Amino acid sequence: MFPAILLSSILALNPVWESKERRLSWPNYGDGYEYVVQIFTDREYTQLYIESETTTNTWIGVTLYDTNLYFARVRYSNSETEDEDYFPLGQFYLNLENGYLGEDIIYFPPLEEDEEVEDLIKDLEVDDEKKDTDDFIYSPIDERDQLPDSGDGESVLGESTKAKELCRIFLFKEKGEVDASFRCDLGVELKKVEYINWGEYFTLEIKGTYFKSIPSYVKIYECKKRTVTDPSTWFGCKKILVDEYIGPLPLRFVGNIQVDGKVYPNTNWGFGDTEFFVKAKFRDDISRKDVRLRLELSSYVKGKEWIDFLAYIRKTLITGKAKAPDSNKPFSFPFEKYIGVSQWHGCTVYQCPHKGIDFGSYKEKVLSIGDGKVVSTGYDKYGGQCFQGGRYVIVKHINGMHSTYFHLDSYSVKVGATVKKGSVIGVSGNSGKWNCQRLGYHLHFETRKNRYSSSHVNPIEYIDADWSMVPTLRYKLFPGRLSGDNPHPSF
Amino acid sequence: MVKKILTVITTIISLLFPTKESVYIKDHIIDISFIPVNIYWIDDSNILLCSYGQTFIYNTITRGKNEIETCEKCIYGFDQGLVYCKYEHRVISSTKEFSTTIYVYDSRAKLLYERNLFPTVLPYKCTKRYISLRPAYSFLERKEYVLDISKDSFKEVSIESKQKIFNGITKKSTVISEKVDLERLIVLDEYNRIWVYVRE
Repeated sequence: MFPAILLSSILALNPVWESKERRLSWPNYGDGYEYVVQIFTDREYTQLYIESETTTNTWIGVTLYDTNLYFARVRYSNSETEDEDYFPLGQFYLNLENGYLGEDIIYFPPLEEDEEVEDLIKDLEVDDEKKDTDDFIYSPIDERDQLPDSGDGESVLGESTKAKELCRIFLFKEKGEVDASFRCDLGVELKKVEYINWGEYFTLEIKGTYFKSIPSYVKIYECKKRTVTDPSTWFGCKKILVDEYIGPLPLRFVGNIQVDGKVYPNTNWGFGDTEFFVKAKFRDDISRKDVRLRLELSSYVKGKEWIDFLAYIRKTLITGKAKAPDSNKPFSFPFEKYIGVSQWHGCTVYQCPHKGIDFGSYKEKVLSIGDGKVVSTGYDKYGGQCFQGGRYVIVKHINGMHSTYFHLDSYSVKVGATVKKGSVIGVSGNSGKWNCQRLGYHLHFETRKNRYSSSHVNPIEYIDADWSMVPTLRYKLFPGRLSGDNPHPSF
Repeated sequence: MVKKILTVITTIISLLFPTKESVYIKDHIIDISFIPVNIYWIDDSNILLCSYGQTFIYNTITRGKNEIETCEKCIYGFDQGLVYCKYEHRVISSTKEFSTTIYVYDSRAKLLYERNLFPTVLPYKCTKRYISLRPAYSFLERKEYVLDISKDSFKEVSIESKQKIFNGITKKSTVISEKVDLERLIVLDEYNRIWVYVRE
């Protein structure tokens, strides 16, 4: 009896799956080529990097020792032709405790070995041959995962969630931390990946969809307290089920771009009800780097008590070669550099319509957006003492359109002068008034079909610029600034 | 002399028995879709999250959330009970006119105070004793004003941008409200999520 208990305790301490072999193979690029496999993984938010020895084979076997997500690629090179590039070997997830290894990318999977979860493990057990197949990884939730009928014919899962499959989630609480384990369809799909070379920099834009909530069945586990009568608690954690929750699980995402394992700071993102976008700006070309979309998911459940948890989803991005921007807009940006906006064109919460764009510039050089002729300058008092546009310049362009520049600190052109695209016409300021109040420093800039202000059009449609690099200034403090014809409504 | 000796003794004691600094840890995210203009601590656990369109009473322990009926052109505040500040703006043609009217009501809609003002401003902090205001439109010059109700005075004040440092709060996050005893903090993170932090 005693040896049997001892053996089971040792087994509990030493899971069956201590390591896992995986074969990685790639195409044969021909004679003279050598290959080095690179494997990336994360541990406690740090990127780990493993590199194999150089080989001329077209496969290697690797042994993985950690429960984690792995990303692999092979560098093939020919020293004679100096050809060198990478071939992606995909990403795979290894759970040592279950021997689960596949192409999915959900984070943290602690599964249990105690009696309470034996049934669950049985449910998840499959033949060894099936473990590495996509079938196993993406298998739909079958009958055993369906909730019992609530009796009244209505779903117990709440409404307004598009996810149809029940998500089974296992939360393990230990020392104030919560590990979440689940393999569920969160609806995260990439719809567009666009990588653009703007000359001085590169941008990567990703658009996709996600679920805002999913139907869930959550089981919450803790370590059982050590007791003299239960030997399985003597040497380590015996996980026991302490709570359950059935209902909708809210999914709150934020997003980032990771390049070679580092989170890129220069990223804008927005998450709507079902769609998201993430956009990052890079100084250098990233097309040959390991680029991933990293989504941080925060969620919570209310069982006997509130439990919050975080999880991470990573998707590898194939950027391809950067494209040139696709634009045939006639005008250029009215400053030497991108400057943020304090009010967009259109019907904003402040003015409807707001006839131009307000750039939050403090005494910056103002440039003509196109070739043309100065048709008006002066000090505008359109509303008498209390409403004034201040010092202004109006330029008529060769296509007949007009551009106007208000609240200038000074202007350096005269009526009749010819201006070139990009030539300096003045300096932005805060001249003028609104309801007898002083304005903040900004440039009120309009594009018009003709000279009259009623012919105003949205400058974004005519100015060749990467508008995603023109943020809304201080929108946290003034959320109303996001309104109007904002090309990126969340920032 | 005695003062110097006391200072030396205090220093030695503080070096021998350093007090443990408080560290704040994340408790949970407040699940709301707006960034509050102001937050008031109603009691040990309840806070009032106020913006111009939405107002919630939120319990930072039980996470219970109750939305307060929205008033038009107004913002709620708290001062020994709920209050709200209504505002009206008008177009003017000279600085001799007023462009803003501020009304303060208690929770039973009893008018407590009324005042005409120039310039065009919005209340962002509303109490029975004073109201803090900013220019009504973000394209106007950035200023701060205080309307002192007891003195019936209105004046411009300097803009304070100092932020206290709390252990455990990253530089990218902003502490937007703190409980009087500093046991709990409300923090806006870099992703615009609002967190409750608790002192460990």
